[in-house]
Amino acid sequence: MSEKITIPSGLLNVIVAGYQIALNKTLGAGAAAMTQILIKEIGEYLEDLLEDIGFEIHDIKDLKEDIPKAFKMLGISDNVEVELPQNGSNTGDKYIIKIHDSIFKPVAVLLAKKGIKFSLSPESFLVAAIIRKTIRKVKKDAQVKIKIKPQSSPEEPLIIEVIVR
Amino acid sequence: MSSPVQRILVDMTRTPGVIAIFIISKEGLIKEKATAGTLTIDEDAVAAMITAVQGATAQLGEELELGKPETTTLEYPGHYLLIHDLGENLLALLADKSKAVLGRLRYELKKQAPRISGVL
Repeated sequence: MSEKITIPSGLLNVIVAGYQIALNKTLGAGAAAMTQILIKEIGEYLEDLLEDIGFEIHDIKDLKEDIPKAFKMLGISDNVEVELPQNGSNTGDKYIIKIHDSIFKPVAVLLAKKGIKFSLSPESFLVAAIIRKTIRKVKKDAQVKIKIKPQSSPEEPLIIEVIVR
Repeated sequence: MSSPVQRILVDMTRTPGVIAIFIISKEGLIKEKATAGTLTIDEDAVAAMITAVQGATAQLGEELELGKPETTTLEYPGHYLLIHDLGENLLALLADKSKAVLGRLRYELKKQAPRISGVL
């Protein structure tokens, strides 16, 4: 599934934006719920993909360093900030990831122009897959949820909240 | 000690035929639930599906210029599934058709929805 071929990022962005627009048209606010299903369905494929590019997902020591490294290795963004949870709580540990200048930024720009909330962000699935794999080493049945903070402008970083329970 | 919202949900499970009640965020996550017995389901998948169904129902209403849906009623051979919009969340109720009265379920949802919104 991860043969090394080059696909123009513009084509990829048009496809991602197209799916997002179609889901928004048919499901409206319900489109955000698809994110939760997708984490579950594609999480393992993303783990395989990361391994294929040489990212050792089984050997993550520090999410604050390793998440930006994965984004860099995949060529998605060179500027990713990770805020780790302060303390555990009964509502789950919250990780905040800020992604600047992602290759998928044109999707956010296009969707913002159309007034559509960007809920199917490829970046968020990648982050969720890495965090889930790391947490499950110590907590086997950990559940990972994603929330994407609405951007008031596409120029802002993409802010993803990952909640682990 | 249970929270006010939990108390309302548990009270609702005493309505004849009610199997389970869920409060689901519009991001597709279960926030609260109460069940009248054991329920074996994939909660994450069900929450996402209910959110998607309500989203599609709302979009259809907009497209046909029918306004916003009040209570979405799904009828299966042995069950009813009712979905009520609480604004930022959804209230979903699963009931056994053989024991429940549809009108009573709708009445309970409409009666309890403002109370639930008030304590969420």
